[in-house]
Amino acid sequence: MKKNNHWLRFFWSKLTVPAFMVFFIISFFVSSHSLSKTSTQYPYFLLIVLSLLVLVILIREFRADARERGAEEGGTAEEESSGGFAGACKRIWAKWYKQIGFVFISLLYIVFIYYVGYYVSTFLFAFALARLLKVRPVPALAVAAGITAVTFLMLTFWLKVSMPAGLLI
Amino acid sequence: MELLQQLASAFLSLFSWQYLGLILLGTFVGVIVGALPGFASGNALAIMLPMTVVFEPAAALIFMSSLYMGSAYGGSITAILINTPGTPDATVTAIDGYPMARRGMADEAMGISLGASCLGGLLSILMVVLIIQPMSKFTLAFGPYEMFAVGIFGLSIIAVILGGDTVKGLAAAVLGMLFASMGADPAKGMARLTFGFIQLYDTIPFVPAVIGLFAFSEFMFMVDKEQVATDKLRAMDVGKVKNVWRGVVTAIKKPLAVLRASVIGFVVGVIPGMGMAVATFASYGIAKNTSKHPEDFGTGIPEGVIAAEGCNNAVVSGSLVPTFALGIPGSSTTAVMMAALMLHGVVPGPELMRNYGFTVYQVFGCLLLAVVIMFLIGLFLAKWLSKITIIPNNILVPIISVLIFLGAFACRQVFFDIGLMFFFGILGYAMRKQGYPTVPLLLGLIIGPTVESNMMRVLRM
Repeated sequence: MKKNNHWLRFFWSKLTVPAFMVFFIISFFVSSHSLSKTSTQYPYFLLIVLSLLVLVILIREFRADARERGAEEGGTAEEESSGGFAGACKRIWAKWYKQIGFVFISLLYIVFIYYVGYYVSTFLFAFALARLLKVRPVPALAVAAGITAVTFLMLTFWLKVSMPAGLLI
Repeated sequence: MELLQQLASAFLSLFSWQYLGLILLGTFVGVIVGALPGFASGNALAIMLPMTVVFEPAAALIFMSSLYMGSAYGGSITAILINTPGTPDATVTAIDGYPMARRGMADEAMGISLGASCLGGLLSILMVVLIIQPMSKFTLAFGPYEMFAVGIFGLSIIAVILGGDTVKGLAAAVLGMLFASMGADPAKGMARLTFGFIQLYDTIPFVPAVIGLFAFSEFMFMVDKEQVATDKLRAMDVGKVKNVWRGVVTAIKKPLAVLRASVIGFVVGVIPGMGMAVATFASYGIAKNTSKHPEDFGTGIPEGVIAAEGCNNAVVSGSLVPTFALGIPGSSTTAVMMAALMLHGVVPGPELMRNYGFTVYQVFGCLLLAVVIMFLIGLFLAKWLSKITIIPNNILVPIISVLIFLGAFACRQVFFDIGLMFFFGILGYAMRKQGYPTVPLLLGLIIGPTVESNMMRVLRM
């Protein structure tokens, strides 16, 4: 029987639970400062929680990838034969890039609304998202322009809301 | 007699341009959204929720209810034509609807679906009108003890039924209640779990949470989905009025099948947490078991389509009973409906009929009109509706993504809410990816304050 020596498997089985507990305890102590009083500690708390989430997701993905490769290669999970760590990274990126892109573009959109203004950001956001989803440049521009115009009409005549103009404009 | 007078007065009040326009718009948008594969009615309601902020409570509820009714029918269009249900609730429709379409009877199947949906909707509205007043009189006797118990019961039953995995469902519900405890303590007014954000002092606002949990997380799944059978739909020439009408007549000629499906839909709809999918499967199973030719089910027979479609529109009215009378929404869609009520300052529960009885009757009247409009849309626009579903996901996602960000901001006009929506979107996606249901979380968020305040009252007694 093949010896179970995959480093990810070892990390998952031996270190995940203690790592989770350590993160949880640190998060608790950091956040306890900011639970009720005005504080600037919350970004650290959120960062820790997000890092933990990303770590867990990454571990799961690498494990799943190693399992899939192992199954494809007749039960012998040899890292070298499937491109090693770099190969696994490429496969995981190919699987997740749309979601990561969506989140990243959304985050940029939030920042842009605040600093650049609503309509310019909306146009850029819709265009970037359409391009991420492989819409060709001209239709992507049309989609972005169309939805920006629609939001302008909706905000002006229906909701009667003035959107943030942005700090830069 | 008094009930009839109230009903008639509420119904007649709907004949204004504003209400009729909203019912027409809501039903039309609902049918289209219902027809789009992978786009559930709860998501559509979540996206449209902030758009109702400028309406008075009755108008907002009328718009949302029409949308709900329309989406229950819309799901059947793609289920019949390309075997891809627009909503999970229309899965059963495809079992007999698609084989009919393959035999060249797509129009008839769409007509049967339309006829059964409309008749099921009408019958269930009659049933709900009969039940809502006695039920609300009964619930008026509820005190803090009962309200606390009902809240916990509703939350746990929904968590267990919707969750699939009991532990995951309950965990989601408890997380929702934890979020609900953010903000000012109801007894002492002290800030809790606000992380220093003054915007959280009034607890987590529903609208960004609803949009994030349902719409944003759904889009994270949608970015990866390929368009289904677009070419097949484009090539189809369906929706001839004469053939669709023939299907409607077929449904009318089977009143017992329609009645059975409607009663099952209504009864299942009243039970919190069961939802349309359970109701349609139950209705189809019972229709098959009581048929003289059960072996024909699945081969493309009208009875199969009637069993599914007569039932799912009946669930719409049924599911509004616990939402209105007890304040316990039974599905993601009614949870959003409840958030809409609360957004407009209408608190569902025992006091609803006393304080907003007229508005509730207006909602049922609007469902009646929505059925009529749905019938006309289905009969005359079926051809065009089937083509609308061709819009590819990669065009749809950027357009609607902009609207969800806009919606998150528009309600309170606070920039913080956009970030909150983003947070709940990521959370919703992570939860769904790991098999945790998001509906119990939202319910915990909605029911949490009621449970807590009633518990505090009980403890002081």
